[in-house]
Amino acid sequence: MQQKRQSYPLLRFLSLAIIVAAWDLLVRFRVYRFGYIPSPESVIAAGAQYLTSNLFVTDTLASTVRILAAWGMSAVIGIPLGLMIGWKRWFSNLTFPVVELLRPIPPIAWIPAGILFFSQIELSVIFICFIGSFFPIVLNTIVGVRLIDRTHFRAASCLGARDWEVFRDVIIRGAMPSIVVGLAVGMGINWMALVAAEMIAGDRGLGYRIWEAYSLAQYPRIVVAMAVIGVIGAAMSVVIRYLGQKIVPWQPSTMRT
Amino acid sequence: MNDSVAAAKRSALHIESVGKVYESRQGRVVALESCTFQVKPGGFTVLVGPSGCGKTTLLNIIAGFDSLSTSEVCLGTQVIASMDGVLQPGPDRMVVFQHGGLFPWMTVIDNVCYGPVIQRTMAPRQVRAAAQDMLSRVGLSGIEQSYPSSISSGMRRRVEIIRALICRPKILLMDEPFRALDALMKSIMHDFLLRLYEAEPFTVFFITHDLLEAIYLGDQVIVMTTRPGQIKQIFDVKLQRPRSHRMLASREFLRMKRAVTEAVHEEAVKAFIAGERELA
Amino acid sequence: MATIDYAHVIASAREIRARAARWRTARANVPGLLLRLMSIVLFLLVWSAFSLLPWAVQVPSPADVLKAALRLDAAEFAHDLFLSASRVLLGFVIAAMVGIPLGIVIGYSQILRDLLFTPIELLRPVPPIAWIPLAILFFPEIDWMIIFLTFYGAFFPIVYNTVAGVSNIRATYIRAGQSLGASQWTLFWEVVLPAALPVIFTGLYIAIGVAWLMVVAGEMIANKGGVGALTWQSYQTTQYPMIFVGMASIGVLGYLSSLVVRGVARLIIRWEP
Repeated sequence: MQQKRQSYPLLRFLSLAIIVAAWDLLVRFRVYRFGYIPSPESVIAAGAQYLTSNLFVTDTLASTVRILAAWGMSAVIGIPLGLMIGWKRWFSNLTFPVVELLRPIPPIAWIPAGILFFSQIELSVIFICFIGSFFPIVLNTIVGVRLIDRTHFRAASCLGARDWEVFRDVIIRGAMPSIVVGLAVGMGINWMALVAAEMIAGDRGLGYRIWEAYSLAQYPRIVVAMAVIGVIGAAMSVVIRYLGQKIVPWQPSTMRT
Repeated sequence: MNDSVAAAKRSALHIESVGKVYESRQGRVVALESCTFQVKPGGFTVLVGPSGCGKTTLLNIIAGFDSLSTSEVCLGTQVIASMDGVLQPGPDRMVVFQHGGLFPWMTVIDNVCYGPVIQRTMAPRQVRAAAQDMLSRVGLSGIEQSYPSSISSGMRRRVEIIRALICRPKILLMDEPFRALDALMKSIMHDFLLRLYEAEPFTVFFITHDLLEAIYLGDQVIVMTTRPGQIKQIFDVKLQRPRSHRMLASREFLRMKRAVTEAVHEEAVKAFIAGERELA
Repeated sequence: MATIDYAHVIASAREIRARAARWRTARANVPGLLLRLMSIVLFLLVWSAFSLLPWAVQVPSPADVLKAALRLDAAEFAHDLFLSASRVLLGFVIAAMVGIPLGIVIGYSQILRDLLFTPIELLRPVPPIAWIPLAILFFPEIDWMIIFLTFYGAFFPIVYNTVAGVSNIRATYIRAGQSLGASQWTLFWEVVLPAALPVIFTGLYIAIGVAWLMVVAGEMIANKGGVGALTWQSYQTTQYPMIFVGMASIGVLGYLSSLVVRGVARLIIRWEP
């Protein structure tokens, strides 16, 4: 099962070509309700028009800024919180129940509450994204601390490290690999939350563009916006994975998604 | 090897009627019972016994990770464990662990320097120089900037031993350090440890289940019974130092081997019948 | 020779005794439990205080939320819950029935992997929510649109985990089976599938969470019944306390459904410690 796999690039290209061809034929011949969906040609045309427009630039910037702000904030708040929860039992008892209580509520369900809290659209969208990335980051940080081999703590005491030195040298560094995974997962959920928030409550950005295209019956643009979101999301995952490997040079294996 | 290989302050270890009882889900467990022995200053004592007999518990008490229930342990003239409490773990009783002792997120040199830097016994630059010196003297130069995951297991064990010795412990506690190595690597490790020890003897308390290792390395081999752990027999190893592989076939070695094996085997059978689960 | 450092020993002895005392009470767990309850009480207090602030006048307090919950029409609410739950279940089950076999097949053959997995890999970065407008165009029935969304959301974790589970089986197990003379078919049913089950179930566990997400999103936008629609409607009709009731019920249902998956996993996978 674990033999070296030779990938066939030709086959992959072929499969894509088949999908696009099928898409085109289904739309052209109005099979079932495929007539209502934009065809590949219309999507390409709309893409050429949208991607070269100013709107594309502002949309991308708006969405990216929101994502980065939310992600950054959840890292700044979530990582120290997770480290403390993993480290000190009394702190965990004090804060973890609230975290566990709020965690099952998906970011989308927070949208009405977010609009209620923050009258400004920008802040409410960022808030929803924050909710999206906050919990994976906190949870993965806690797991990271718990996964540290007890021997390391003993070795540190033998070597004479005091409490805060153990925190600095063992806990933070030992939890790093998990923290990086949490940051990557958080970024992914962040994107999902962003699209939802922008579609429902936004006024600009890529997610909003999808909804606007739908309400203005500019259907090909829907697909274009979806593709752009996909590409940017994938690019961000790659960047995070790359940066993750830089921060955690001591793991011989690469991060798994 | 001379003074640059850490000349440890040698201390004697006195264990007098030490006992340990703890509560577990199965009820009251007597882990250790009236253990009494001594390690002389600069002596190399090896504790052997079947798995689960309490060897690691005893080492944990000496190291300060665990408390005891009866009597006391003295290191030199200092009481390090008594019924009132146990002294915090520290560099005076450095432990070399079975596995996972080195910090995977620090390079080899950072690992070795960590102890003295944290304890502020020397300036960081001096520590680095001393660490580099020690590593090169034992043939480990060139891996200073590597992470533990990218060097071999034998190298990792050696680095951990150097990390312990650079702290100049009063006693070096070794918890089955070579257990995870194959036989060839083990014998290289034995020679490594013996050369360090014989150059400048430091007090060592070594735990193992490998009888041949115990006789080859130690001055004193203590056999423990199966749970509740008691001292069954204490053997004095009369082999000359420096030890060499040729001694493995000597009459004295074979005599010792027979005696120790008999003592341990009896306990091992008892443990097997009692169905002791392997304590990792 | 150093003299006996009693002071140091006594000090650390005191510390050990204190630590032991704390440990003993921790076993009875009274302070731990107390702290946990306190934290929830604190949370409610902070929330109440927050709602009293002048610029947060619209935010309902916990008391308001409780009142709204008690005033609920039980039958209607149950109907909404049932609607959401059935949409999730249907999409999830279809995703499992399609995704697991597909994942197995992809895991086995590199050729099929290149053929079938490529479009899946390409579609993955696109958030399922972005599919909503297209889904609305395509499906005449709202219910089918929402079920498609839950299916889509659950599909990816299931397929990915199944592929991973099947392709990362330890070669030792396969070789042991082959040595014992198992045919390809037996090998699959007795070795490959059981070995992959834990990973597959992790995929199912993740998938049900995503499916809940999608149901809520779909219902909020389509506004035709279900807990998500309830939450959104409450916002539109300025019945703000109901928003939180809706959120809480979504959270509880999502949590319960993951528990169910975990429970089923434990029933089927009896060999894990």
